[in-house]
Amino acid sequence: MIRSDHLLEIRNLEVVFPTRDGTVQAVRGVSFTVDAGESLGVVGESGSGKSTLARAALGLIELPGRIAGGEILWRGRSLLDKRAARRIRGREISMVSQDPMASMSPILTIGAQMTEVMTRHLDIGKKKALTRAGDLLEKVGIPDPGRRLGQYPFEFSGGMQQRVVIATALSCDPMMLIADEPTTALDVTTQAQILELISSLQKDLGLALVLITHDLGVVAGACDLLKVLYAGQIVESGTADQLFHRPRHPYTAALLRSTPRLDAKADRLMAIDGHPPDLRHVAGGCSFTPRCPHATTRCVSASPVLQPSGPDHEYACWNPLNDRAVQEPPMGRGRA
Amino acid sequence: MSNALLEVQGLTVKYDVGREGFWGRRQTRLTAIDDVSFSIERGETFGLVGESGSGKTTTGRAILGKVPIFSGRVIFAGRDITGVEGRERRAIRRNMQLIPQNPYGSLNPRMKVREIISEPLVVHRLFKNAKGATERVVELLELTGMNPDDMHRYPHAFSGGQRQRIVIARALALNPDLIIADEPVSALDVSIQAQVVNLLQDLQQRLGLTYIFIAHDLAVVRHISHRIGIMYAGKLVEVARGESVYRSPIHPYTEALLSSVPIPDPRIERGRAVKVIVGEPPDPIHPPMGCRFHTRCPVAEPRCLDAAPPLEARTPGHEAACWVR
Repeated sequence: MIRSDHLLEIRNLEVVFPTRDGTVQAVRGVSFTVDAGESLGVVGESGSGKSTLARAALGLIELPGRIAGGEILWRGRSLLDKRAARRIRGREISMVSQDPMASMSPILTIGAQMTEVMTRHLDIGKKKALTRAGDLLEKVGIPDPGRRLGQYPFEFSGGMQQRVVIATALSCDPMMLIADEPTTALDVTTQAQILELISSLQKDLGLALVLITHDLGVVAGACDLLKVLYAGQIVESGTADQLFHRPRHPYTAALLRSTPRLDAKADRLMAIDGHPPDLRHVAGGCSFTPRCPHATTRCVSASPVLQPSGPDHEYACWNPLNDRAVQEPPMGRGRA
Repeated sequence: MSNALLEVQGLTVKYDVGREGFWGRRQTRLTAIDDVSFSIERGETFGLVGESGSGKTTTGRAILGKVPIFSGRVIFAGRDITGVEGRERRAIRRNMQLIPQNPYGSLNPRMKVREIISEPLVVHRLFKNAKGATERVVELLELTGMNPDDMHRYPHAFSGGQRQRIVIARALALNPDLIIADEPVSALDVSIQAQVVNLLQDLQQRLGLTYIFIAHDLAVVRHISHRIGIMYAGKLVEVARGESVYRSPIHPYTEALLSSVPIPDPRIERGRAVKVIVGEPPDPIHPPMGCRFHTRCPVAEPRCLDAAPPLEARTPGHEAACWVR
């Protein structure tokens, strides 16, 4: 056993996916910790490695993908061992993913699916498990749970399916819930319902929550801590207040400015030029350099590492923004 | 309304979705949109917002003549084009183009960019073939922020944002007046989405385009639209200028929708009481009597069950369909 005081500790994780056209370096040296009861948001665009990170933490990287380096510790025990991961997954760590239909079997009733998880991981019989399943459905806001247990997933709407998935995820009293884009497939009024449910459950049950999303609005209310991922690396990490109001990394700031806000009408969105790098051919230096309005020659030649700047705040940038520059957006290369 | 480029009056579209009753004697019909009316002025962006199944895509398709209209009229540039087909419809379609959502599905992977962009020009016999249209293709690529050399490449060589630029270039090829953009940026990452939204705004200024911008994301719609129409279960429930929709919504559904959109600011989000509406949109085959929102409405009264409220002007330019408010 390796010493770790954290619930989840990820050290220098590297995940690669070999393809015909080269090896994709999906996660490149990511380290972070999650403590009991914490709510952590992981924000990034497509290809930033956020979902791969979540799957790695659950031991769900499938061939040809593999963990090329680093360590994943759950309460001090390594999760790189598949058998250990299988014991913990679904019991101590649960996951809610984007597509609820994909997390359920279409040919089993909700009751059968929920009890299967419980009889497998907990020392209880089928009857007791079914009672518990009913209680859980009630807790996640599904009316008439007795009848609903006998129904199949297709008989539920998208929002209700996601509630069932959440109820199943909670069935073994996990310590941590990983939610990967849990509301992306849902309509906005349903999204509001599900986010409120996740937040209230997290607080009531004292769960650690890792919420993975591309949507800055979604993490703003639900998470206290944030990590911003770009091209497989954490570029900035801190409290939600810090990152939303005083970001130091130009990517964090640019992401915020390119997000349209309902409460403030801007004449023009500040787009980020170009697109994320191809992770099959990673060049040296900072990956954001080609799109960064503040890039210098140093950014091309050397990769910045995460450095602390305050108690709960780290960023990886050679030319960080200062507080002032953020309040008045710098004259970047925002264009059509 | 003299300057209206497009007028939609009482538009209703029904889809046949099977049969019911004894030996299937009765045709089951799904009313996708019901009595939808609005008008759009030249050079304006009209945003159409709603959740899945609200009828926003069907409204766009009905205007384009891609679905049969059950009742109502579509008047384009002063001319009734309801039910117009064949050669006349083709002539109208030159002035009315679609930008679809998925930039991966809407480009033929076996055609080069030049062929893709010139296809409408060739179909409408403005040019004999793709080669002849090269000059126009170069112009369109430059207009949409692409490199002229890109015309010799295939779609797979481009990212999602670049593909959407190619789709936009193709839509502009025939110099249309009206562009119907159906969720044009929802498949894109936020940094790329901003590029495409800015491009659409620039093009509108330069070319005097009129847009119908269909989307589920209220923040994007508010950003780009001059006026917004909110749809719920096939009905247009509120129409107003973007600012009025946000500052002084009338319909309880609009209010709930606005309240559901998360604001990317933790200080605002934590202190904000989200008015979560319970339940889900109704079954479109058997919609509730009266106002379709009454099953979820926090202020519903008995009269809301009896009859559907009409969309009526409350203040100049602000229409809403609600008995209570």
